[in-house]
Amino acid sequence: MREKRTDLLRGTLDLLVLKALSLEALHGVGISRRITQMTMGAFQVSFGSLFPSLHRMEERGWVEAEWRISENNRRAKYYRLTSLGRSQLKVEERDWNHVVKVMRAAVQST
Amino acid sequence: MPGRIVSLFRNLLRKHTVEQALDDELRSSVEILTEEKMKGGLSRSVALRQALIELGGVEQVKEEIRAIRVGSFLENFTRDLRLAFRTLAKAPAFAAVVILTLALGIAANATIFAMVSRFALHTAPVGDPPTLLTVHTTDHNECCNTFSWPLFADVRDNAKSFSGVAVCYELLPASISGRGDPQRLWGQATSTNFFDVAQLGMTLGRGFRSDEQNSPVIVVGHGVWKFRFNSDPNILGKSTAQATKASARNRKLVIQLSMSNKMETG
Repeated sequence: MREKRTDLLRGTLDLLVLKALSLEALHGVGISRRITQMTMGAFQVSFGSLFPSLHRMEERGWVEAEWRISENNRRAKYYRLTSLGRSQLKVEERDWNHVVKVMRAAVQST
Repeated sequence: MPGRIVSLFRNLLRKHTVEQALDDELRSSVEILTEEKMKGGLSRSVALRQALIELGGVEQVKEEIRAIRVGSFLENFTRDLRLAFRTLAKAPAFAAVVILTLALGIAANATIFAMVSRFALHTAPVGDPPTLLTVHTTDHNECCNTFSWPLFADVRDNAKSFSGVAVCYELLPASISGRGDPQRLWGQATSTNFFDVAQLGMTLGRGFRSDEQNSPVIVVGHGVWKFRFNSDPNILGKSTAQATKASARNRKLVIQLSMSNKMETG
């Protein structure tokens, strides 16, 4: 396990999960691995945050779950973005870009 | 949000299925993690332990998921309610004290509210409440001593600002008999024009006539009429024994009239 670990910013987990699922359906562990990969190892999502987040998104209708056989011949619960989830991803991306822009301006101001 | 409502019903009604699915999901995650670590060359037992560590405790994760579910509030609330009842049932003396305290508190508040409602929220049962004034004499800036009759007569005859002036002695101890046991009541003595000035409505009969000053005639209030005389519609003109402290001896009085309003006039 990596020692260096950055705590996730509040509110970025949903965006990362939605983004991770935007290519294909993944199970919980797969989403965690994908996030680590996407952030070049900077973020490791704890399952204690990931699973509650996934269940909340499922209740909001952003993702759909389905039991499937994994590549290792195991039953696993796969999550897939719904159309509502896709539009939510757009919203979250836009909000994030806005935050980045504002924060950068704030940090660079003298 | 129909999706959330569906989730709510699923969470509340099919709790077992939901829990089972959660259990399956976490178990499969542990398996996937274990296999991943075994591929890295760990033995199965070490891999399983590391997988459990990485997951951060299956029960903790479950608890976190339960907490965010729709309806978790309702579930917790019913659980708290059951706990409260169990705790109270275990300590009946404490429960009795709590219930008694609440009952007394509610009763006291209800009583006070009934009084406030009657005196502050409802208008007085007189003809035109804003124009009805009380006139007091003052003595060394102290309010509310009694008017003497001559002073009242002067005010009545000479005051130009009022359409009428009546006088009322507020608390007159009296007892009323006739039917059944004599009963202690509080009455008021008024001038004959009292009912005309206050414009009090009558259920039955009339107020005093101007020639009835000092006559043995009473007007009974609605409460007395109802409870003492069973709302007898033929009460007008009947006689009852009434003794007042002022007269100190029993006199036969004639009930001439019966008035209706919320003022208790004995």
